[in-house]
Amino acid sequence: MIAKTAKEILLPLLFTQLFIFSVAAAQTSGKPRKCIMIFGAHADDVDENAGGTLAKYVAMGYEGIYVCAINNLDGCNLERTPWYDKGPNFTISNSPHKYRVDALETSQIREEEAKAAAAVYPAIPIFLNYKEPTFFIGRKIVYYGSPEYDAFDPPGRPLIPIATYMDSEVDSVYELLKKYQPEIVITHTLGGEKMDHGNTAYLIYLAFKKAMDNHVPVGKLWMVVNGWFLDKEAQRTGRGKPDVHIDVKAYLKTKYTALNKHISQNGGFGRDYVMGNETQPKEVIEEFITVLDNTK
Amino acid sequence: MKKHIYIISTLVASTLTSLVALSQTGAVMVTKWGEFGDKPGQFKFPAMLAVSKDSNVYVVDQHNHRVQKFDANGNFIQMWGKFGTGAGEFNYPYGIGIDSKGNVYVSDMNNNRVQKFSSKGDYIGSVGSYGTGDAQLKYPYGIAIDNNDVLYVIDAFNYCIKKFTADLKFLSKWGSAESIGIKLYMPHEIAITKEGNVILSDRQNHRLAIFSKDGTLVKRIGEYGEGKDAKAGQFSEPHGLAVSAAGDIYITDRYNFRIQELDGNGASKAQWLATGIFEDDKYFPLGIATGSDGCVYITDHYAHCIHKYKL
Amino acid sequence: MKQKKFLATIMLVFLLSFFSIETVSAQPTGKPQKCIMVFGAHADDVESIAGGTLAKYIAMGYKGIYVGTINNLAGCSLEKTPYFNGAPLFTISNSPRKYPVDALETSQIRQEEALQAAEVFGATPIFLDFREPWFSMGRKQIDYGTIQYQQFSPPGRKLISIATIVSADVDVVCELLRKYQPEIVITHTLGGEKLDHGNTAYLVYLAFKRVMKEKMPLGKLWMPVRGWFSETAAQKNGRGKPDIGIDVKEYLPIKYAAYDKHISQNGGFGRDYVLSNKRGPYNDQVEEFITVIDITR
Repeated sequence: MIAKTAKEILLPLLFTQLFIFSVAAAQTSGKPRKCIMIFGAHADDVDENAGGTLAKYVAMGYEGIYVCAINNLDGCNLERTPWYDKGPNFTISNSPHKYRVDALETSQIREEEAKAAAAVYPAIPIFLNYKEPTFFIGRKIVYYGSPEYDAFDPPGRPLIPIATYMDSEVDSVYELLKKYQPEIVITHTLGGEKMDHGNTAYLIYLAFKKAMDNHVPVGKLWMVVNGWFLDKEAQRTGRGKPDVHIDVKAYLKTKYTALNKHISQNGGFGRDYVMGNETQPKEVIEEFITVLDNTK
Repeated sequence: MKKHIYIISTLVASTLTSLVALSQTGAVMVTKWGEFGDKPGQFKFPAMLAVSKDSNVYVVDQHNHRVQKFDANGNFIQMWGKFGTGAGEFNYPYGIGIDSKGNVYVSDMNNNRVQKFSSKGDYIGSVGSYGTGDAQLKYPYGIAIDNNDVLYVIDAFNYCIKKFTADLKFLSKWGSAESIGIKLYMPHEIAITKEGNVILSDRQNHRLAIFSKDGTLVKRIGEYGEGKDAKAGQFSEPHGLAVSAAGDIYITDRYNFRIQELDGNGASKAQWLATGIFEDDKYFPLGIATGSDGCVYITDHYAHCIHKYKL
Repeated sequence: MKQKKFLATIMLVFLLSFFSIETVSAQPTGKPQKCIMVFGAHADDVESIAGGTLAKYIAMGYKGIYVGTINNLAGCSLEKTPYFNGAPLFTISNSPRKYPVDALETSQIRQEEALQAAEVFGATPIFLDFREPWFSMGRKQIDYGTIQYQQFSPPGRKLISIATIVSADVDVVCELLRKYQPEIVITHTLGGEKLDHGNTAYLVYLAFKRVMKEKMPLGKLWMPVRGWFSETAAQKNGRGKPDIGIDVKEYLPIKYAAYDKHISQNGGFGRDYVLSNKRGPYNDQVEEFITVIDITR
């Protein structure tokens, strides 16, 4: 097990030697403060996608913006088993005895957790409040567009895929880019991931393009290597090969501290519990694909 | 304060002026019923309607996939049908007609058939399935029944008019995109004139067309005109069509939000606003029918209600 | 005829080597018929993404499946101008004087057009009826998820993007893949395109992966070079470079004849009218794709 882990860590390190590192130089004083913006779909996606990079750039003097695109209406669970004195002060999300927390409460809990996580870096938290496509009424899932969803009328803007074709919604992201003029924007992969992730990525992509078209001095749009880029074929053809590699070894602690603020997602057991089955071998290196580059 | 009163009175005056300008006959709304919903007497996007000899009103309640029956005052009598493909079930029905015996025919649009019911809603039979054959249909829209109980069906995507007996046996068909004079889209509603000709609402071309029973063009009526200044005889997407016992022709003039009345020769007699409000996502006068007492009924497809007017 | 087929195959092989391309050879007789499936989001997307390829593979003996994923509730327009004699027998969708046709009628019109287009290819048409995210009421746009949309309750399944999170809806596509066991599946680009396109691609991708795990004899999933693959960055770093190029020169008449069946989309003026404003450099003679999944290796 240990050998395997070592291999998993060493191999990517070896690979990264072969790649060109593309890390911005530290912030020089005197100039206006540079900015990095991370757009996550859900409350903990910023940390998961680019927590280390965010921490590193904030340490280099960048202003960090932590954006949650979606108003989480779903994703908190309670234990059915009763409280016991020696148990942890939280619930265990992945317990087989779980059941869902109501939508309104979920959005409150997850937004609070995201604020706490943003404070760890520290970064400015921004919530775009796009609607989640599902939530629970009792223990029954309710989908966006159904009478029950409408009757409940949860808080938030349109569903994120719908927002992608509404000029006013693309504009609201564009306005953020205009305000902060980030040198680096990071978000999910375009396509091939969960619906909300892929569509969030597309919304950001559209806004970034608009910013470029309107000569807003944005820098680069990076996306994580995820979804279909992990498929064998994409790996084979080199399409899944990232061109940006950020060494975040020194910032993993910050990343995990932030991740652990999302108590509702990890039962408070910390990252080992959350990521136990999906730990990325390359965690010390966060990797991205440059989708748009406005600096050239 | 005075200024406010002045503005309001000006607004009222101008609204009244426009109403008066169009309400030349003084058509009076006798009653109005219905609202959005699926309970009896409520509607979801009502389409065409028909009035029987005994003055009952049958309404195609399109998005509830059913037919509702009311008395002449809008009191609910009964309803039948639900979403589905079985006998007596519907998939977005559209047109409706009543024969001399009081049987009710409904074009079951997305099921590509016409179903026949007794006046009490008992299922009698059906004709049509998707296809190009004689007894097949592609999205039947409006239907009409003449004095001899011949059923006329607008077979929209076969670009023709099909005729059936009251027993739903195929008789004949006529028409093509070219001969009917349409460009792409079919007329929506069909009715029989006092002379026994067929009249179609040529929706896209903003006019009406009268054909002989066998499809020879007799005449075209109307031209395009839209907005508050549209003149009599001008139309913007005429949809519903009805001919009264006296032979007058009534049309729902969709984007002018009004009803027009023509004499049998197509000369304009009157017109009046259905809603008085030009909001195209909220109001859509669609179906129209006349009663033996001379009253005119319309469905407002988007406002989910029925209006009854007395002339 | 046989000679023509042979020549087409030779030409294809030649071209393939040119592009470092890979594709299957013509169907040998005796074996069960091979199959190619093209999933378009809207009624005319099959033609748009792979019309020439579909025609070519059918000519090679493949069974062609033409899938319309969405029940088009929007996208037909009427002219405000009145009828005039001598005008073509159709309306001009892109006229500045257009206004939208109602949802139910639009879905009927566009499905009829797609049926005719599928016939041009000699392909089997299949309509999955996922919902369009908006339609027009009067002349106003109604978005999915609004009360008006819900009240109108147009025919169809869930919105395509939502379908991607509903296992039963992914299964709708899986069933098709299980039934036809296509050697080649083509759909839109994953991400970076119109909402419905990207999400259709994702739905097909999920289904392909699911059926793949069942050890079904599927072949390859191809996607066109569109959306963000057309960006300078993707072109520069090679991500936008296709690995498949199909010479469809011979099949362009079929592609355009099928295109022209979508009268409501092009006013009957044919592809020049449809495509003239759509893209910049567009090599019609070669249809290019990226292999997203290949389980033939």
